[in-house]
Amino acid sequence: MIGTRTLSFRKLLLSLLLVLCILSVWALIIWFGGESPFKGFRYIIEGSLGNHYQFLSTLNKMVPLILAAAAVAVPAWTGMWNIGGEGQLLLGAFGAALVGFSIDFGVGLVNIVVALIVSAAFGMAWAAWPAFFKIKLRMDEVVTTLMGNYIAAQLIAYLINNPFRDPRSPLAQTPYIKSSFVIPYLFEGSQFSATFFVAIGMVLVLFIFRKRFITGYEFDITGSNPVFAGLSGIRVKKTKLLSMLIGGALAGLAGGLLVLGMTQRVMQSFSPGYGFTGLLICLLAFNDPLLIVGIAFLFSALQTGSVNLQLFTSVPAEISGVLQAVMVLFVAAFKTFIVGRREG
Amino acid sequence: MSKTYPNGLEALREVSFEVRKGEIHAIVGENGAGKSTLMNILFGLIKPTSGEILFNNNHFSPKHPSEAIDLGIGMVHQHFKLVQSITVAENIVLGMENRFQSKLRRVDREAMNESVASLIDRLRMSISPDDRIDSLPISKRQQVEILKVLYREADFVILDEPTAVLAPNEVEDFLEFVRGIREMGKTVIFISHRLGEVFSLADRITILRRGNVIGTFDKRDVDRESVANMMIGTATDLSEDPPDCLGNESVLSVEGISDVSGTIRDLSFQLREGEILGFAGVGGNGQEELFEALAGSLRLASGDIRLVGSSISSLDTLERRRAGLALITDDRMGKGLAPDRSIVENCMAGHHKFGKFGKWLIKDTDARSFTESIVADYDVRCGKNIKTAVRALSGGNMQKLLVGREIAYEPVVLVAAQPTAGVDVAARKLIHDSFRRLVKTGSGVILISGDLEEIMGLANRIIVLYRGRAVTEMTHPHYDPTEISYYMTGIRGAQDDRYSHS
Ligand SMILES: Nc1ncnc2c1ncn2[C@@H]1O[C@H](COP(=O)(O)OP(=O)(O)OP(=O)(O)O)[C@@H](O)[C@H]1O
Ligand SMILES: [Mg+2]
Repeated sequence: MIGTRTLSFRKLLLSLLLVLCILSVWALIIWFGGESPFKGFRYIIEGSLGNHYQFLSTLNKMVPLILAAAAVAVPAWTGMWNIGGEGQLLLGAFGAALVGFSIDFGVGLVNIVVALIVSAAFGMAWAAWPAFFKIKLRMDEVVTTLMGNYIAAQLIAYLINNPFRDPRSPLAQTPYIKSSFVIPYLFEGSQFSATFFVAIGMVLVLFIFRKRFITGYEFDITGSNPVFAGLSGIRVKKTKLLSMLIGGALAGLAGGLLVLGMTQRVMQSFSPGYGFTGLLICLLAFNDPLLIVGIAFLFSALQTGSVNLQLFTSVPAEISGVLQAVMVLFVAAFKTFIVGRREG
Repeated sequence: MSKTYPNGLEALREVSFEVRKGEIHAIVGENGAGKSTLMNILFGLIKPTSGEILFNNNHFSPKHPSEAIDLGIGMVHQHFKLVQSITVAENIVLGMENRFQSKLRRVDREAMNESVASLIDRLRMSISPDDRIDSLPISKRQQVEILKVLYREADFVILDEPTAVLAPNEVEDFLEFVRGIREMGKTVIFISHRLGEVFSLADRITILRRGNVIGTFDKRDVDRESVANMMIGTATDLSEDPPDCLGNESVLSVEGISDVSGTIRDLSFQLREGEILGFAGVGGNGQEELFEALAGSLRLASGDIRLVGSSISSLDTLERRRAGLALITDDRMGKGLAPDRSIVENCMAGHHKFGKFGKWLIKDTDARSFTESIVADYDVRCGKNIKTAVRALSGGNMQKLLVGREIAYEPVVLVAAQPTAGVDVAARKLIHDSFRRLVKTGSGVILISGDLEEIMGLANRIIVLYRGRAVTEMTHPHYDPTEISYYMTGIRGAQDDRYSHS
């Protein structure tokens, strides 16, 4: 078994080199921004992990990222591309808000659960039509899901401007959800709430689903070789459809959790592009649920850390986007060397 | 030359051999002996662990196939590496298309097609440069692979099991064609499991056994039996007779089926319990469509298929499998296996629909023991690790895995297309024995094969397919290979074909 070890040693070296490359380009960028890189890194780390507020804020930011990434990953298992996380998330958020300001079941927990289920259902519905067009008319789901994002954005803009606009507000936004729908913050001075555990719980469920469940196995086989899957008696179209629906539901749930756990309403520019960041995270994590959590943590820490960087230096917070992009580029470049080649 | 794969498997152990200029050099050995590995090293596809190559007395250690191609080495792979969705000419020219580019980078398709067509003409093949690869039968795809190599004017041609998917008469043409290559002064390495071909073609033969070279022999100094013995180490009996356990009930009846594209036309037959029914024919005469029609992935224009009395024409593949059908496809990499997945996952596929590993949750131990029994029964050599990716198996071992999985259904009717393609003598016997055991239990087998020897040794009855029709039927023991080949090539039986397009 010597062969195996040398290869994984090589992989380890390459991974280290990858991290080194990313860090040095980051250092360069911060340096160009007019700050000593070491200080820069310190501010980022302190700003994201320095004290427990900052740490909680990093964790809290992970929630939509994890779910949006999972929304891409699950369809990818069966070979489907879901680029529509952004739109599904918006629809999900709207669904949760709609329930939250119009209905009340009296019991808080029931309210929350119903609102979350509705948000997942809205997200699912927004993924359903591209999946249906793909299966019935062979329309490319990359195009339809991507298009769906823009339609969803316009649709939500209309809904919060006209039929569901908060009459007391000067801005285009829905009314607040009733207080019995709010998922409370767990710590004073932090927006961290139980939504984080819902996201982590979903990831664990997905992980177990893929590894241990018959349907999860069918997802993987369908993605690996659909013709073979079909000849084995797996219903390929159904499987692909199901994976898209699950993906949509996850994105919808992300929107629902954001509304119930933080914003309490849907307003203009509700999402700063969670869906697309989720796509990046999923690509970096090779569709693996556990890796998604890790990468989402990195992304989230970068974002909260960069705010701190801006606070203390002249480097703008937007730098986090640039740093993310550097990471994506390098990982894409190294991917073939670390996992891509079949043979050493 | 030595090669140890990253998973620790020693595929070659310090082997040495020599090829002379202008000869046809055959390499024979069982499945997994290391033939493809050795050739891939010569071609620069994989790196050897140690050892060196001298090519025309120069040191040669290709890091990439392009270096081998530059020196005039060409290789036809055991598994096709063609792009499915583009035409024959495009595949052949692929990588050299700048020859046909104008200054504006526009490819001159006419010139491209013409140059390919002239090569096809010179070799007297019947392929059109405009055909899309995915519309061609597998035997034609093989020819495209070879065209691709010759188009690059290779002087040293490696053919890894080129005949495994060809029908008998195609094989004869093909061998003639390889001899023609030798006449042109080129050197050929030829790999095949069929010793008949090897002896009719090769000048010298190198025998590999489990990663070791047993020796290189001049053809005149050895005979078939001795080569077979050196390959395996024990003597085997090469002659076979069909099983004798025919029942009376019909298990499968096909009544006048035609497909939408008109490739198979008005095909009818009955399969009785305990019977092996062979379908002979030149590749592309409806075999693939027959398979698809039985599998449920081809739309029928008319006709009916009945399994033990009840119609299955409107059922999908899953429901047909539930009704007792099992399917061995002739395209193991494309349709029969998921090469990137583990052996376990490949064995489970399909069986998982029968609740063998639990209804919702996968019972790991059940999946493992199921897989281990297939691996053991069918002698799938995988270094004892059933978590390895199927891609890492040798071609023949993949085939054994596929056959083992399908027979494990204990089907009422087994449809087997080219079940022993690329399989060595011992494995072939193992697979044939498993068919015999299956029919003893009252099941029926549809055997679609391009290998006449296999069909005559196994089938109780043979139907010859020509242009999608059953042109004749013969019953054991009244087989006459010459007669069959007349029907296969349309010399007999096709005169009354009103729809003939030729
Ligand atoms: N990529 C790989 N990784 C690990 N082991 C491999 C890999 N490719 C081949 N092997 C192993 O190396 C051995 C030799 O394989 P090879 O493909 O050379 O056999 P072969 O002689 O061509 O057999 P066949 O007649 O079945 O094609 C086999 O045991 C096979 O399982
Ligand atoms: Mg081989």
